Amino acid sequence: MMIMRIGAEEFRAMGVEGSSGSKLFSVSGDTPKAGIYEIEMGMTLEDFVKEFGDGDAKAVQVGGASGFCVPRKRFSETHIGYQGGLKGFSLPTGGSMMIFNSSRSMYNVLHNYLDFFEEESCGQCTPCRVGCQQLRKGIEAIKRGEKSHKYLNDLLRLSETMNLTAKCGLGQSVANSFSSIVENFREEMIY
Amino acid sequence: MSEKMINLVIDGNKTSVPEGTTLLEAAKAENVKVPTLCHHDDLCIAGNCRVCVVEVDGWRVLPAACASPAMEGMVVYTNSPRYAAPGRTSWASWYPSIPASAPPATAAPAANFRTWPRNIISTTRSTSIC
Repeated sequence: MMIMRIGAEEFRAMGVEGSSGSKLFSVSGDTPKAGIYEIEMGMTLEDFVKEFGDGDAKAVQVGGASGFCVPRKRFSETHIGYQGGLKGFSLPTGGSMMIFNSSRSMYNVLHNYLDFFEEESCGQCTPCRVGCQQLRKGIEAIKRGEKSHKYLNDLLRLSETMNLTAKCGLGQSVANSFSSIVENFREEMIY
Repeated sequence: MSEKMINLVIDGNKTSVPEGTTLLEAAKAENVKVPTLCHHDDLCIAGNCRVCVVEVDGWRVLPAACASPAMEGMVVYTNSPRYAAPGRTSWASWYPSIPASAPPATAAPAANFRTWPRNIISTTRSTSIC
């Protein structure tokens, strides 16, 4: 750890205002050098992808399945850090960074997340229990052509409802990945 | 021993309730109807069906009235625009346990959402479908 080597003073001077120091990140996905890295806070995703990507990154999932998916066009304005105090768009993260390159279907990625949430949902509160199932069934129906693409808007509203009414953080955070993937990769959900 | 009283505002009406009172009980005392489904006075508090969610000023999420104790200075809305936003109404249409006899959620969404739980309870006398 950096702080052990350089001491608190210098550590604090690192990073940016509001998000000082560094943090451990788990880098996985389409990267030639997956592993655990210590990265200075405030780094933009563009620099991150230059460092760790395979040159073809189309999206980065910041914060795992409960986090946000950032598309390529927003790499340069997205900073990794604690929320607030950063210029542009900043994302807090527990340290999980998943890189997807253009060979990946974001529909499959989202489907995988929803499978995970459906499995993990304890089933106590209704928004999460019903919502996770309905979101998964919903995107499957759209993919099969049984539902119109407008149905995605209903699903987005449902995810917003889950975010507001679910009992715990699991149900509340489903909307993060769902809305960020659906809004940025809408065409991949439909075709 | 005098009980500590908590001051709060429900739908614009100032009220005062003993410490430990839930928002649902406080609303009931104010004659504000909040729909419930899994709540029953004789059962322990579950807060699972989320039908009784209300809006509290300054809170990011909508807490379940049956499971949230009243706190000093709370400003509670039981039928706010945020509560009645499209998201909440679509939830009613998602509800898998909604009986066929209930009105379709598309007709007058906000009104339906607020009335159907009470309809279910009065017709089936069942409070444990969720």
